[in-house]
Amino acid sequence: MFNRKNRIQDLDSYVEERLSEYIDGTLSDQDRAIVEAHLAKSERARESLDSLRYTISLLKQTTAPALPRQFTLPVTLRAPAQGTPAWLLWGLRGVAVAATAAFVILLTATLLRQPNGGIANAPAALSQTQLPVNVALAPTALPYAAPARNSVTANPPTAAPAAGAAPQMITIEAENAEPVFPITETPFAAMSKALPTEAPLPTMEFIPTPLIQSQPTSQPNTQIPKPTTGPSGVNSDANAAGSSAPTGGLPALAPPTKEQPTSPNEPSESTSEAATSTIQAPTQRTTSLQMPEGVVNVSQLRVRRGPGVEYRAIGSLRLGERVRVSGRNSSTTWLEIEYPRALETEPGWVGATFLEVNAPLENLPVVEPPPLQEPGETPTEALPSGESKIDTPTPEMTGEPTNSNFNATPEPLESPTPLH
Amino acid sequence: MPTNEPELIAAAQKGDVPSFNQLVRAYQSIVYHTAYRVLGDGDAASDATQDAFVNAYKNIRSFRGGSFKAWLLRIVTNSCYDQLRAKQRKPTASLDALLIDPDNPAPGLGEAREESPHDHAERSELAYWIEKGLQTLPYDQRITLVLSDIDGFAYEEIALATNTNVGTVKSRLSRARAHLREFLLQQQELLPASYRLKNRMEETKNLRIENV
Repeated sequence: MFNRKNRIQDLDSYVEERLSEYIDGTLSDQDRAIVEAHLAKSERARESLDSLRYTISLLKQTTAPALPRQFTLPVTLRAPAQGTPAWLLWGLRGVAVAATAAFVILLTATLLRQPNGGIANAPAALSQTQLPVNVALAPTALPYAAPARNSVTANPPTAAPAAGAAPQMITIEAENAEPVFPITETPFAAMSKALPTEAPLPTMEFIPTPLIQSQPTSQPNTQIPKPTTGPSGVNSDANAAGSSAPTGGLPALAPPTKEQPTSPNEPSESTSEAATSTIQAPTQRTTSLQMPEGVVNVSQLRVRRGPGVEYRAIGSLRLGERVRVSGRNSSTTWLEIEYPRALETEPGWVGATFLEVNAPLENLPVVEPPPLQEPGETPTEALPSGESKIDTPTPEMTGEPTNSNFNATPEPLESPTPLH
Repeated sequence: MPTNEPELIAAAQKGDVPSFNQLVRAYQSIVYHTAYRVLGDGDAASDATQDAFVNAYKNIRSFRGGSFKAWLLRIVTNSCYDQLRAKQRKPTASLDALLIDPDNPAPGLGEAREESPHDHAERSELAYWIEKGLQTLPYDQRITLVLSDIDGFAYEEIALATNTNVGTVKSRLSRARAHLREFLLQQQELLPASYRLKNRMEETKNLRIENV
């Protein structure tokens, strides 16, 4: 039997334990009645309720700390699992294919003008406006999506923009679409093999789909609807080698209309891809057309002579600029690129995390670092690597690969094995 | 690029990283905030956040519908736990002891904050003590409190995220709130009179600030 005091104390505890739920409104009717009755009688209980409520309100008001960086994943990440086969997805995206095809035609046409080896009979195929697209659309072997995705959707502005340091930021939050992507990223090596005839491409990497007429317009880009860079990794996978058509002199390259004076894949960017310059001057660029392409994903990226902050800078690139990626260092922390100059390109190096490359980095050839000349030079703006996982959000990012937390995170990011 | 969540998820399940990254952008703030409140350390929170998103991507195909946010937060909860375990320097027997270092009950708080409470004009002293108080809670209570009162999850979602049942969630939440309340009251001596919880409560009574 309870004496009165015990009952009260028990009731105190009983109610006390239920205040939290009372606040949340999840008590049963019976319990709520008990609690409310007790609250009416006990000031102690009321104080307890108040302090509890206040504590909760403080919690609800805690402000989120600023995001130190973007946590987006690199596009080179392998797909978690293989979904529908590429060809099937292609079938579902006729429009994209068509547009891409048109684009590729133009690119191919453009590039074919170069007397580079590689693609033998592209002209035939190209004139049919068939191949290129297929070629361009690599299979899931390149499970990556167009680098500069225009986020049409509004992204909640995070602290990232303020930071400017977004090593993994993939999206270019620009309004305009970068329709070039689907085209520009073609697996050239594959493409060159595939182009030869109108015959179905080797199944391995190409998806023979009928192309639509190439559009002679000079702005093929604009015809590429945004959805082209659709969710399918395949689409983007197509983006392998840079915006270049198969190398190889394909003199027979058909209708002049396909050839655009301006580099079709550079509607707005100034990085004069090889395409642009090569159109004018058929310089030999044996390998460039087979290279994958990278897009800069930071506001400004310093380009250096070699893979390290100890090399002097030779220039910089802006967000969204595209460059061909010609190699990497052995640890894949730096990438060698073709840094565009007025009429040609010169080799340069950038931090690997700051380029979104349309091909797996491990496929890139390892390039020996150039000698550190000019010993008198001191490295500029060397970041204290390892200390911060974030590049300092200075207007000019050096693009040094700090101990990129990315490289340090679980292998799946770099591993070629598919994630399942 | 799909624009609504189910489409993004579907695309991500097929391996489209940019679609997944759209999801990342939508949720990274809350994920980071949660990790930060649970771990009390910016760097650890970054690691946990990154791990969480990588794991989410790897396992995206196991998401079968329902609240993506809750599904994601469950992954975050696990990542936070992994972070805590990784940072423990000495093995201990009990779970709680494992996660609260008695010599340093608020680990990382000092390192995480670049500014002391004194020169941080924007945040109130009270907010500082909230953070500190959170770190004194046992892990299970802390995660429950953060998920409920900072992230706004319902009991059922928290139960899913922490792999328990609603009853456990309720009791952890009740205890967590009470503990934090006690902690704040204890700090009264350390705080200037104007910040004392009791006084604040008096003020808010008049202002009807209660958000609950």
